[in-house]
Amino acid sequence: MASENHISQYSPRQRELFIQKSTRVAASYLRRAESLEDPPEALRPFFDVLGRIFVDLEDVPKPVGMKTVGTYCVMVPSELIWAAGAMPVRLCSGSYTAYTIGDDLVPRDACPLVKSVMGWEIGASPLYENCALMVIPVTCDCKKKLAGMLEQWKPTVTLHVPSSKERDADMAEYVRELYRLIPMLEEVTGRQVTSQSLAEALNQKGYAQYEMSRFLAYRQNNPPLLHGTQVMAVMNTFAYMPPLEWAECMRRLNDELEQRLERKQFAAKSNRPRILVTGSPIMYPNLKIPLLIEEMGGMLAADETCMGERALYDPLTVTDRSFDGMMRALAGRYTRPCTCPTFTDNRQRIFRIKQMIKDHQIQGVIYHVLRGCLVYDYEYPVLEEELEKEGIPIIRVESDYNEEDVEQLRIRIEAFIELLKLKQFSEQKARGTA
Amino acid sequence: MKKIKYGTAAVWIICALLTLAAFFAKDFVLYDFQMMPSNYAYTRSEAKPAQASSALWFALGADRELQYGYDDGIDPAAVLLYGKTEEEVQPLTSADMSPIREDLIGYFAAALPARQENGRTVHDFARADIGPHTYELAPREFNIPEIPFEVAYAERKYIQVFYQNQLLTDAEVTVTDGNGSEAVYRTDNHGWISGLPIETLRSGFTASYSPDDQNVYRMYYLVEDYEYFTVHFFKAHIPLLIILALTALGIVIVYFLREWYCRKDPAYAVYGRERPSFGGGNPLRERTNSKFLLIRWLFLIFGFFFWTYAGKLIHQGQALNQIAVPVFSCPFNLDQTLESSCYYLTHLPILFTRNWGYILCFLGTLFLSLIFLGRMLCGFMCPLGLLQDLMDQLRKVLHIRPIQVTDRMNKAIQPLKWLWIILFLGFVFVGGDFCDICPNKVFSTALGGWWASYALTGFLTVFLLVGSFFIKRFWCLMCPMGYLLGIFYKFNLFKLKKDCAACTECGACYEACPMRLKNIYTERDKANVQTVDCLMCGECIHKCPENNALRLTFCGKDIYKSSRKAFISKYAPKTSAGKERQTHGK
Repeated sequence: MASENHISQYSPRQRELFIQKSTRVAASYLRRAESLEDPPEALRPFFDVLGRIFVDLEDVPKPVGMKTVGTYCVMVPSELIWAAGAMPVRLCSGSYTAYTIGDDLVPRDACPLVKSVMGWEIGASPLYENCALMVIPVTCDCKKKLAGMLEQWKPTVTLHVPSSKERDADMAEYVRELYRLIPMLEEVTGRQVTSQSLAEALNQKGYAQYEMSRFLAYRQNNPPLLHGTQVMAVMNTFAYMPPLEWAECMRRLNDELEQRLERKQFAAKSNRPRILVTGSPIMYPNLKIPLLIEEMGGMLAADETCMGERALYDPLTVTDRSFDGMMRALAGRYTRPCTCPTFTDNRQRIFRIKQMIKDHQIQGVIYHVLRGCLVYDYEYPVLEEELEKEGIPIIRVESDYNEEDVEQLRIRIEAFIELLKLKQFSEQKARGTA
Repeated sequence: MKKIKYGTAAVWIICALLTLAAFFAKDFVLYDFQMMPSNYAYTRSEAKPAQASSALWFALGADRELQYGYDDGIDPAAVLLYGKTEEEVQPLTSADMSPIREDLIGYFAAALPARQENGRTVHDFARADIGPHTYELAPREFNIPEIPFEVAYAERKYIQVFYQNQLLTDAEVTVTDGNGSEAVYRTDNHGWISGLPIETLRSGFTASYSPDDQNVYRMYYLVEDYEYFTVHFFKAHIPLLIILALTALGIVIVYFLREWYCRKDPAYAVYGRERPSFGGGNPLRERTNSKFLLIRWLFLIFGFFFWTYAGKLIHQGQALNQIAVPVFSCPFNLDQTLESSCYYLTHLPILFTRNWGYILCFLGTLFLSLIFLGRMLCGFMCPLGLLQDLMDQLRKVLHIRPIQVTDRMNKAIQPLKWLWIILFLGFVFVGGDFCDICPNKVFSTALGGWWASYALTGFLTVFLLVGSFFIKRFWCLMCPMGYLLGIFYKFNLFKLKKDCAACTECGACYEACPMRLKNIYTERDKANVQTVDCLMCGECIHKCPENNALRLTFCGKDIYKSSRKAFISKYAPKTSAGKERQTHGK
């Protein structure tokens, strides 16, 4: 009912324009990502899913009759939603068109992600419209207020994420939050979360993460087998596919990458500077920064963002097979290793990035800050200081959800890549003479 | 918050009650083996045992009937027979012995008037201790003028020698063992003979002593022995069965109390749906094969057999029983192959009555274990550790959720640990006996077939078993011996190391750690994360998903390290393909 009111605010003409514009932008970014040289054949199903949702504006590929539950952060345990018999979808949006609509609904200094999410209330996407429930972890002020606004539109649940992780009581709090979520999910689906259904969901996610861990080994290869932008798109699709299907597609991709490795068919030469992107979330279709890096001759070798590796990297560790044991494991897995800056002490993110630099042979770091994303901005100086000690160059780039800042970003990223190349060259020279 | 305060208060109350109870430990009798002398017939033995160098002897027949025997030419009417009741020593006639009178507690002695033999005066006696070792142990010695020379079982594997109703100190006593061979032992200044082989004790022996050239005193001494898988052996398990029944009751009570408590909580109301079940039902793929953990289980099982049965099964094994290793296995079971150090650690004054060689050997092996192995012994050797791990496995099989030990709860348990340490080392100095309150006395003795009675120790065993059902390695959290084992952790050859950069702080090690050691996952500077409480059980490494983030080293060499591949391979698509076909089929 509430949603009807919201839709009626916008005229059919306005919606038509919105649909035209948003699908055009989505299609163009998808094309740019696809057309990076020599994409593996197995990437097709992933791009198809993104195209289906954001270009054709269809619902997610889900089993018939299954309800969807929208989630807003990596801290919502997707396993729990699957166990209740619903399909989780990520609703964090990267749409520039929706951003322009949301700009009028949300204060000026709010982050573009929230604005973009609010823009979808225009009622154009079944992804949002078909959601039976929205789950929003309170991870920053914008998300907190977003939860309040979404309540007018859809039934919502907020999850209170502890602000620190040191005490066991914090963890126990989050376990309780997850327990509170269960009856609400059950109400939506009419099915019960049982030990069996939860265990089944954990196994499926486990299989996806098994394929993911295989994939990571190929991703660390130098020269690269795959473009980082494509990897980010692939990671995005996990939020819109059932885990087994995703894992199966991933298995095919892994098999193809294995063959490519044997044939020495690389996506780029090894002399491209290997770059890590970290910071604010990068949602499809807002792929401008990854694309700029790779179009300017850099190699996006790894990412430490919540829509990328972070969502799938950490496996679930169940130490006790009881229902409570699994719930505790879920609460632990979605908070403790999470490097989200919502936590007061987030020193572990620096260690994580350092380890990724080692694993992926990173030469430079691009710190992405969405305008208004304060929590990520707070952590930049600390990381800069730490990486300076390691001798890894880092730049901070701020972006918004529009294409007006692309040229400015292009210049900065190009200069950074040139700097990395120069450094690489002088290092090679020094090694040659020594 | 409130709950935790109650928890701390509860621990202090438990401490106070335990201290109080420790002093009256003997009065809380859980199980007392009663002598049923009528079970023992009394017959004449025909064959003279090889070890009987005296003219009188006792023996046990095939049906465990007490037999007596005497040399040819002895007038049986001249033999004086004595038996002990709980109060006093009574002269007996053959009427009292067939069947054996019910108030006799199983200690019998026979004396033959002095005779002339080969120009010397020979005094022959015989003794038999049959039946159980009751809890309130009556003194074994008879101490009557008619029996001036006497040997009696002091405790465990030591015997006392009396001469003219005084302890015989610093004298040479000849012992004839089961093969008929003789050996000379010297009593120490407490009248104890140590170093007597356990086979000799078991088979019965004759001790003879000559105070001068004219007199020879000989006593044949029989302590009841038993065989495995006999009625006698299985009867020894009765107290353990009672304890297990009480444990089951305790588990049911704790389970329902918790359910009742949780049902008031709306967030946890969902628990009501989860019922314990036998096997099956939960398809979660959580187990990964780990050679290291398999080896650990094998070591634990081996340790259990080693400390419970090996001494009897391998007779040569007894040669090692001067060596004391600090694991928790009750030394009242004399079949230990190596000795458990706990007896002398809890009875320090008794240790210093032993000869210096023994003390040095004891302390030497103790400190070598402390310094080089440390709590590795807890994780790999301790029979009590195996028992707790088995209780934990039982809980997992039943799908009952554990009680989670939080850091606050762990802190609250500390006073209990210190209390145990104080009682462990110091209780003997205020006239107590730690063995009366040791919760581990039951398993080793009962399973080994030793008839021992249990006082407070039996109740504490129930406490331990219920605790370890809900909390993995519950006893290890407060084990005094374990703490002593840990104090030299800096010198241990085994070390737990961490790669702080590789760690993602996912807390899996913390969740898996039976000792709830938080530093393993919070440590960010040091590579060595071993602490005084670490059992080196390898659970954290087993559950760690990061490559080489945690490793166990021996002399600097890695023996077990965490690996992503090993961790995640449980989800490998062997059966996933099958599941996938199922979902596609829908």
